[in-house]
Amino acid sequence: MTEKTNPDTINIEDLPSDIVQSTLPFLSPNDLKNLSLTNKYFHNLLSQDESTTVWHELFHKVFGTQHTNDEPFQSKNSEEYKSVSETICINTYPDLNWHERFRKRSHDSAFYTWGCLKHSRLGYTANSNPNLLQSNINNVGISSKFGVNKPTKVPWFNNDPTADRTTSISPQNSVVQISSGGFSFQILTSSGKIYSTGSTFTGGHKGPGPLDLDHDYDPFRDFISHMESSFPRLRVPGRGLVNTTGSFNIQRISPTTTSNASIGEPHPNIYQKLEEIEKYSSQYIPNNDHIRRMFTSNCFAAFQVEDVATFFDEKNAPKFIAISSGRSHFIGLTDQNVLFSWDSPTSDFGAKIEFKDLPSRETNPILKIGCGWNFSCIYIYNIGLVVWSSRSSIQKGITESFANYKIIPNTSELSGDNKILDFACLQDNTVLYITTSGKQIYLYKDGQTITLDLDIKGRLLKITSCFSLITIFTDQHSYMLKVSNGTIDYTSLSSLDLDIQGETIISLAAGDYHTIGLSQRGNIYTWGTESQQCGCLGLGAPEYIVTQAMLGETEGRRNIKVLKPTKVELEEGYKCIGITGGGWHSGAILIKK
Amino acid sequence: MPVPVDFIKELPKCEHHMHLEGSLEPDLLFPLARRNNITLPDTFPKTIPQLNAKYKQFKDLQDFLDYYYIGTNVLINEIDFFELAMAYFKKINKQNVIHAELFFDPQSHTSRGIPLETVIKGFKKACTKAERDFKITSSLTMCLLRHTHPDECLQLIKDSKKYLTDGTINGLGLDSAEKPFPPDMFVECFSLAKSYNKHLNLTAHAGEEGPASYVSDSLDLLQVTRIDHGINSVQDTELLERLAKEKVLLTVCPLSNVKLNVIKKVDELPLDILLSYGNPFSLNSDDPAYFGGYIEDNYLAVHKAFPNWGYFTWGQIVKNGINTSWISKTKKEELCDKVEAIVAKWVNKISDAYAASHA
Ligand SMILES: [Zn+2]
Repeated sequence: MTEKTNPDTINIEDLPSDIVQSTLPFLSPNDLKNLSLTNKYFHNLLSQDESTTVWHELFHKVFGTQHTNDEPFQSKNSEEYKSVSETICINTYPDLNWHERFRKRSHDSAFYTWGCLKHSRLGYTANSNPNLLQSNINNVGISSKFGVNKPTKVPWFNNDPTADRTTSISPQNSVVQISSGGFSFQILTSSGKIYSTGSTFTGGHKGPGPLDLDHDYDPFRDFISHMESSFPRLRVPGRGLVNTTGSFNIQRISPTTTSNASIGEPHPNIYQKLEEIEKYSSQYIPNNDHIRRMFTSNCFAAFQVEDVATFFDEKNAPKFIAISSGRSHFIGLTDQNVLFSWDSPTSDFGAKIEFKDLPSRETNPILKIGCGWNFSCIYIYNIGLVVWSSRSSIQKGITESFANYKIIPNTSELSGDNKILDFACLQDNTVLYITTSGKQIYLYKDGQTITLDLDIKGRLLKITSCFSLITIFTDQHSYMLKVSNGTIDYTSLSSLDLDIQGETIISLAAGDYHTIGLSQRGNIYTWGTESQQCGCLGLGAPEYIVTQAMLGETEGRRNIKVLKPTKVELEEGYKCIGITGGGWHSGAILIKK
Repeated sequence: MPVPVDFIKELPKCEHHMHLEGSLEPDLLFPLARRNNITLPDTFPKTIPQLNAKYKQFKDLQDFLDYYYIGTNVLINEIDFFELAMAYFKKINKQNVIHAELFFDPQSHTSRGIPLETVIKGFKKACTKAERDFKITSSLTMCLLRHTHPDECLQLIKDSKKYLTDGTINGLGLDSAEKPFPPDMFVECFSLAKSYNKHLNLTAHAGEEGPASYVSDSLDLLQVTRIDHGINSVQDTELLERLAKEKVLLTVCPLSNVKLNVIKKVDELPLDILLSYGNPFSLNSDDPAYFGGYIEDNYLAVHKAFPNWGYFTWGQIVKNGINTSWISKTKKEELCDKVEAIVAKWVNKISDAYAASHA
């Protein structure tokens, strides 16, 4: 990141080719695409399949989720380190070079979801998705069509068959990363847009946004308030002039002059601007209004301009390169190293997060982002881990919000054994982290850092957490630890080794009561409980799980419990390269072999 | 041939969607303004006929709101609120209304410095008198204005704890501009109110101008058991199935929808679709003073627009409304018997006439 290069200032022809090649990973896919179209050298470089290091770097850059805490930092102990999706791609396409793998990953991957259908969180409803088979829908008592029991392809942008697979770096709407909160999924595309599934990502719960009684400026509310206060005012005995709308506190709106709006004559449509901004800020996947693009508070400026359309122009939109989700919030990092947070049920627009008293993003950029249940955590270059669970509200005319942050002490080392290798977030600003020494797991909780005493073999390489689970990967084994209400159950430490010959779990996700594992061969394994037969294990209909395949049993009246990690059947010829889980739902990126 | 108008008039009606502030007629507005020494804006019509004429021709929503908000400001004392509600009860007493669940917007008054107590006492006394004098049972549903900040709504819930707990306020609703203010903003408000009284009835305006997802989110997130308006539910057949299964009442307001340009004509209402899916709905007046009609006018407009509906269809619609009212089981049975007796009476009349003509 420190070598971050501004593409505008390079004169490419003047640079030696190895420098150009090392710069490549720092350019965005779009930069590369433009360069390869306009510059012969680049065109040659990128169209040669042999330049496989470049393509591997590019793959790592675009699909390696290197800016989230899904993956650890690279260290000298992990020179052979590859991200989950790279590992699986190597295993899936052993005979392809990285250029071909890159193309496969860009063009032939798709987003699949299963589990609870509430709030259309799966990105579709029981009737809206032609890919959903009726036999894969679970009906539970009065809640008919409650869940989907098999990984089901989410209606997405149509793959453009005419898209040139040889020259285009990556299709615009390729799914780069998925993450999931308690009520929805977030999807990052190769063009840097964030989409969110379903009708609510908060479920009505407060995230790490403004504190109680403080709230973000809402241009819609402000607009209505202004409109109403422009109505004629009344002279009320003892109270002077008051606005006549009645719905805003008198103190809040200082009455200006008595309006001379002529009653009875046609008024312009007062909601016109509101409607226009509504229209621009409500963008859905074509033919699927259950997946909505998420915008930022930058859009509020549209209320000040005449021409709303230009304001929503793509050129002005931030381009995201990483996302991470908590229970009712999510954050996104842009290619300009700006962080946005969607964290409040009262606003669908991401707030731009700033850190008072910290050095600028130019000298100290954010290298990784992560979300806990109800807080956010980032790793800032030369500062270390920074956590916050609330922020200041956005005020009118100012688009920034300031995080009420804390720096986790002793996490700023840039090199050596104490450099942070990976971190995982629980709840209430509780963070687990490991360093390149790979010997200790540190727990930061209530402002204190302690080390965990766990019976773990091998050098620590990676640590991940979900709402109910911590996974620890070492160079020898992998382990799981249960978490409930943010408290780690140390007695629950167990090995994650599968009984299946040659299969190793390399990535793990979990919802409230279920766990999803991904093996190095691209197979999905699930276990745990399907509450209310929501289908989140993806193993099939309840009758199939219990009586036919005998994979699990019923628990209580309506739950299905599967104890052993069980392989999820994917569509013929498909492999999984990324998983996510939250609440009562699961998601995966599948790729055609 | 459509069923006779007299049959429609005779049907015992329940009103589920009527804003008390929206029943302020010019013939009450002017006397109240005078009594409370309130100077109306210079541009405001001076006489009852002039104002009545204005009410007949709102240009758009703003035009309506303009008058609506001015009207609200003449309500100051307990007796004003009492008289407002009584004026409404007198009108519907002539329209065979047997039960009314009434909305009021406390924030329209508390923001003007009128104590919550004044508003509630005035309305409540009218409800008691209406039951005594007209045998019309009624209850009050407090609405949150969704364009005010959820924190302010939460404060209102806290301020009205006493009335929510003791049942003086029988229901909680959510109204005003739907679109930029989705249901998930008000989860805290609704769950707090419900925590005060588990018998509190919950409803929300949804699916009038907002999408069908606002309807399902209101059910899932706010835990409401009724949807006000809700006509956009027909965009989602899955939702219709659910609404039918869970017997969620949609309180449809035909004349209001036309006046506010939600639809052009009453026959555009998707009522046949609702009937075919088995969705209970009722016909209501919303803001009768402003939208040119009380409940009976709404029934008659629908009667005219849907001439194919027979006695049993109408009987079913009315019974659906009764069965989804917030009243006791015995009361429901008693009212449904009444409806069935009326339907039987009219059907027998026809068969008698048929028999007589073929004798
Ligand atoms: Zn209404």
